[in-house]
Amino acid sequence: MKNRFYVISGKGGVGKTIFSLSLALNLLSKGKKVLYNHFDQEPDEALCKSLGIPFIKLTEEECLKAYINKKLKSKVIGNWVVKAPFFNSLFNILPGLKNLVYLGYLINRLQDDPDLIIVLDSPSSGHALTLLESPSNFREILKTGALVKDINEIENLLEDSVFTKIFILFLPSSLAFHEAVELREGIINLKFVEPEMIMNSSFLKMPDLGGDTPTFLREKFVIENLVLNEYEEKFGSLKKIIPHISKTDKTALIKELNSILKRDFNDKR
Amino acid sequence: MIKGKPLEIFCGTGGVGKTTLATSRAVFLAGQKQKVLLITIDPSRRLKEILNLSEKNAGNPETVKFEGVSFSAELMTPSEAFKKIKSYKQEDLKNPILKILTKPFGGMNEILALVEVDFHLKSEKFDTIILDTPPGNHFIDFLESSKKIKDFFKKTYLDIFLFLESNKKNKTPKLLSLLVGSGIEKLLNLMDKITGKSFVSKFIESVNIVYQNRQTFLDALEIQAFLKDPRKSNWFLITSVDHNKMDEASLIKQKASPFMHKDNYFLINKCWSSYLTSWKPSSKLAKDLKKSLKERESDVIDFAAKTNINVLKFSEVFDLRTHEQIKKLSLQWEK
Repeated sequence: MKNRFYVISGKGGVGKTIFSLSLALNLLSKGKKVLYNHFDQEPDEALCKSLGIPFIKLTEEECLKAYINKKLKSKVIGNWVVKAPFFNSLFNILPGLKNLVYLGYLINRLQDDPDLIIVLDSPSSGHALTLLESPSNFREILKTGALVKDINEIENLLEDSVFTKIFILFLPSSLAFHEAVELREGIINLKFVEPEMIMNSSFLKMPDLGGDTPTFLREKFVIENLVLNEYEEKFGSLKKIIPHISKTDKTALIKELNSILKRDFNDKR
Repeated sequence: MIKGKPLEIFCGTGGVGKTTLATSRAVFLAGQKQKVLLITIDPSRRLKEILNLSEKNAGNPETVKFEGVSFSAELMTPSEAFKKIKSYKQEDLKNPILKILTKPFGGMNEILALVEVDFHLKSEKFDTIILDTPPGNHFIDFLESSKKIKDFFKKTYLDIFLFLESNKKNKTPKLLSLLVGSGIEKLLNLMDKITGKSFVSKFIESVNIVYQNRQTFLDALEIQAFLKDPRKSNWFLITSVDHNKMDEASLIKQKASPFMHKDNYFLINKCWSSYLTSWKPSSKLAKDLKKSLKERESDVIDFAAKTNINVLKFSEVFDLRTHEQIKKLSLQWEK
């Protein structure tokens, strides 16, 4: 795998964070230089540290500051802009602009260090589109200028399947799957790399319980199978399915998932 | 049984079932002969799928019939909300910047949602407005948008932009000092460098349009009074047993606490305990599974109990048909 920028999205609660951290752990174990980022959210530092996963902890404001300073080749203007009360409040009501700058910052880091891989634990679907649409929205607003150059560069990298890999996770439920399909279409409409879909926490893929399988789980299996059929009708066979892991402790969960990734998720590229 | 109030908030982290539960609540209250508006401000719009709403009605209430009851449902859209602003003129949304900002994922979602809800509250057409909010962080954005609005609409900024629009060349010394003091002129010059001239003038125009409508945005802040008043609102903080997200739930609770009051409910969705108790597995594998499933549920319930908020448990409905899910969940509100 040569991908440098992993973007993990999907409906809220499908397990993006657990998957992102497992993926980061997996890449680290292959000797890669990896940074995890939870997109403008506080990363679970204790968890990252206990797993030995380095992370980028940065607020949108700090990104904006760094970005403006870099653009205008000054150490002070960015600080000043972010502090100017008017602009502070302007950026607050324009989250799209902050998203753009954040994305630009992460991509800049990757450009500055050719060995680096970033695993982006992105916001859930609707807001992932806000994030991923931000470059084209602002290109349309700005039309020309230095920022547009950067925007084009961000978009080129998001269109490049060697550089970027987008995973969309979904739980085997109808709503989560449909949201994943919409997100996939949204990303394809933006002409970015085609996302790969992963079904997470499948009870169907757990080891067979035989005669111990209770009625409610059988009902759940029926639902999962229907979702799976719908997937296959649309996209062909689903290659990546993560079984439900019977663990509640996050560290144990991530370690277990990491070993599943090692076993079943090795891309032959 | 929990009685309907003028405004009911469904909030929580992503994927816990906010939209499904909010819909079941609307069905339940409509069954109690209440006039209900269910409005989703989550841009992922699962409500559209659940209730089969049509895209052409997006941004306005649509009448929904469900198992013999009827209520109104709306997919909030920022551009339609913008059109409800008092002095809205058609050409306003022709400004390229506003046009993009008011797209569904354009970035003004949360702020315009406040305007939309305020509009419906003031219309007094509904007994209860049920609000299905965006997940976690973005819900906090929604709550905090009032502060952002206040900050943005400070009188000083208004004067500056009105001045820039009316007279870009002749600056009076007083306004000049105001401009320098606020840093706007300096930044606009910098922006000229990065973004080009045409952007700066479109930008000034867009800020002006928004400023001319500042009263609408400021009026929308009156919603806060509703949110804080137990006679006027119910809060449902939702979490789900299949999510390992207690930290996020407590963060939302903490951020929402200035608005919360005695009629808050911790709603625990997708409970399996009623199924698990009757399951008597014999193999170790199955026993371990049962144990871990019980554990994940009791972790959530213990957490909720510690917050001193009334706890409501909703059992998971194992049915792929969302219609059946809503129907069965709506019965659980009768408890």
